[in-house]
Amino acid sequence: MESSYNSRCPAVKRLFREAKELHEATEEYFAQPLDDNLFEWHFTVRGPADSEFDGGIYHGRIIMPADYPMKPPNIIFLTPNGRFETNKKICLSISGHHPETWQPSWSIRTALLAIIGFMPTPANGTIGSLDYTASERAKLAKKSLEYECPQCGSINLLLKERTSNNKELQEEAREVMGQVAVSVGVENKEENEDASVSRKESSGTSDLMAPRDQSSTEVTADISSSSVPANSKNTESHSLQATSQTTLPGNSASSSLPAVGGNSTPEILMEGADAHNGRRNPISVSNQGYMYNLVLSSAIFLFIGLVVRRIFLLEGETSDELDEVLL
Amino acid sequence: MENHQSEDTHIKPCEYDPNVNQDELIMAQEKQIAEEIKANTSMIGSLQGLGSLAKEYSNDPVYSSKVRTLLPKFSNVRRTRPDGNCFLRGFIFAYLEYCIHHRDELTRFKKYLEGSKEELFEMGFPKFTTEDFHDMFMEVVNDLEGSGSVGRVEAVCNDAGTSDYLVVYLRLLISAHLQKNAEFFSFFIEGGRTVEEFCKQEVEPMYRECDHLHIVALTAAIGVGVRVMYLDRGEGAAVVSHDFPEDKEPIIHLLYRPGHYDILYKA
Repeated sequence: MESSYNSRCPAVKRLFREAKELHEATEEYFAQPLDDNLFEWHFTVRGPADSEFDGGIYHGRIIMPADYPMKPPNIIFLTPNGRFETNKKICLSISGHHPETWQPSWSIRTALLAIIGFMPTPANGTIGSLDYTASERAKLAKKSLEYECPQCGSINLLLKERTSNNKELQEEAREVMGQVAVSVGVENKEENEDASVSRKESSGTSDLMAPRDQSSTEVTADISSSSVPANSKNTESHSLQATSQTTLPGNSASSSLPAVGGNSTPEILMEGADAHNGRRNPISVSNQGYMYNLVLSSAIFLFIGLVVRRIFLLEGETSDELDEVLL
Repeated sequence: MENHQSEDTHIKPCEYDPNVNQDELIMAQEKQIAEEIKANTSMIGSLQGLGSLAKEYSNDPVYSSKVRTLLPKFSNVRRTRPDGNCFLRGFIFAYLEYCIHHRDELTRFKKYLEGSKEELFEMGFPKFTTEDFHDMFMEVVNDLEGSGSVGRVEAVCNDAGTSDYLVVYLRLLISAHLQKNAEFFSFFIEGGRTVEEFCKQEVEPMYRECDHLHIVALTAAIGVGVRVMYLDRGEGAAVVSHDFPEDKEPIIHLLYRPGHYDILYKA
C-alpha cells in the first residue's frame, strides 16, 4: 500500500509512522488504517475497568483530515455503548475557553486515550452523548462482544487479553481527558460527499452547496430526540442503517486522495468538520443559558414579591391576602 | 421544507431567524473567509516594492504619511497569508533566507535545532510527534545547506505540509521557552492562566496569532534579532519600532499592522 501514496505528503508520512507505532494490539486499545485507505482507521477500545463499561469492547472509525495532524481526527463509534451515539462524529479539541485548539503534537494514541478517559464521564446533555443507566450500559457492554465489523471481523479478538487493571494507562487516559474536550458532530456534516449521499438516500433532499444551514436545523432536531434515551435508541438504529450505506462512498472518496497529496474535496469536508468541532456545542450552551434565565427570573420575582409584601406590612395593612398569593 | 429554510437564510442573511443556529452561521462565514484567504493569498508572497504599500493607503492620510517614513529605510515587502501563522511563517522565511546568504548562521541554527529536540523531550513534550516535526525541520535545513537558493526557500515555505510542520516546531520551541522561564513570564499572562495553560491554548495550537510574548520567547530561544515596525493609528508620523531581544542587532525586519505581520527588506 505504501507505494500508492505520496510519501512527500507529511500527513502520509505521519500516518505511516503512527500505524507502525500502534501496530501491535495492546490490552486496552488497538487501531490501524484500513487496508485500502490510510486516511480511515478502525479502532477498538476496552471499556475502562471499574466502570459499567467493564467487560465491553467497543469498535469504531477514525477519519483523518487531509491536513492531519494540523486538524484533528474525527472519531465515530460503531458499537452501541450507551455513552456516545453510534455513527456520529466525536471531535476532539481542547477544553476551556479556547475550544479551537487541537494540537498537532497529539496523535491517534492521544485520541484513543481520550475516548477511554471520556467513557465513564457524565454525558451532561451534549449532543451525541447518551445518558443510559449503568445497567443498560452494562448490558450493552456484554452485547458488544458479539459485534462484527464488516472490515475487521469479530472485534473481541482484536485486543490482547487483559492481564491487569492497567492502572497506569487509565491514569494517563484521565490526564489526557483533562486536556481534550469532546463534542459530537452529526454524521451528515462529515465529508461533503458523505453528507450529500446520506441525505439523498435518507431524506431525498440534496442541496450540496448549502449543507451548513441544513445541518444546523438537523442538529436542533437531533437534540430533542437525543435528550430522551428511549428515543435516541430508535434514532441510533436508524442512523446505523444509514451509515452502512454511506461508508463506501466515504472510503472511495478519501482513498483517491493521498496520491495527489492535495485533493481538495476531502480537505474542504474536513474543515467543515473542524469548524464544527471547534466550538463547544452552541445549543447545549444556550440550553444552559435558558435554565439560568429561568432560575434568575424566578428569583427576581420572589424578591419583588417580598419587597411588596414588606411595604404592605410597613403600611400596617393586613397581608394575609398577599401571603396567600405569594406562598 | 429543509431546503426552503436554507434558501431563505441565504437570501436574507441579516434577518434574525430564531430557528437557525446563529453560532453555526457565524462559523460558516468564518470558514468561508478562511477559504477565500487560502485561495487568494499564498503563504509567502512574492517580492514587491514598498510602493505597493503606499498605493494601498493612498486614501488614508495617517497610514500614507507613516508609510512615507518607511520608504527611505525599506525597499521591499513580502506579504504573508493572514491565517494566524503569519508571524511564524514570516519569521521562518526571512530567517532561512538570511541563512542561505550567511552560511555561518545556518550552521549555528542547525546546531541549535539538533540540540533542541532533546530539550523538548526533557520537558515532557510527546516524543513520537515532536520527533516528527523536528525531523522535518532538519530535513529542510540540510536541504538548504546543500542547494540553498531563495527560490528553494520560497518553495519550502509555500508547500503547505512542510511549511505547517516548521510552524508547529517553532510553536513547540516557544512553548518550551515560556515554560522553562514560567516564573518570569507568568507576570505577563492575562486572564489568570498559568504559563502552561497559556501555552496549551495560545501557543501550541495552529492558527493562533503570535503576540509580544511569543516573539520575546522565540527570539530569545533561537537567539535571533527581530525588528518589528508598527504601522498603526498611533500618534505622530513616525512608525514605532521594537527590537526583540532589545540588545541584539536585528537581522529580520517585519511590518506589523494590527493583527498581521509581513516581511520587510532593508533598502
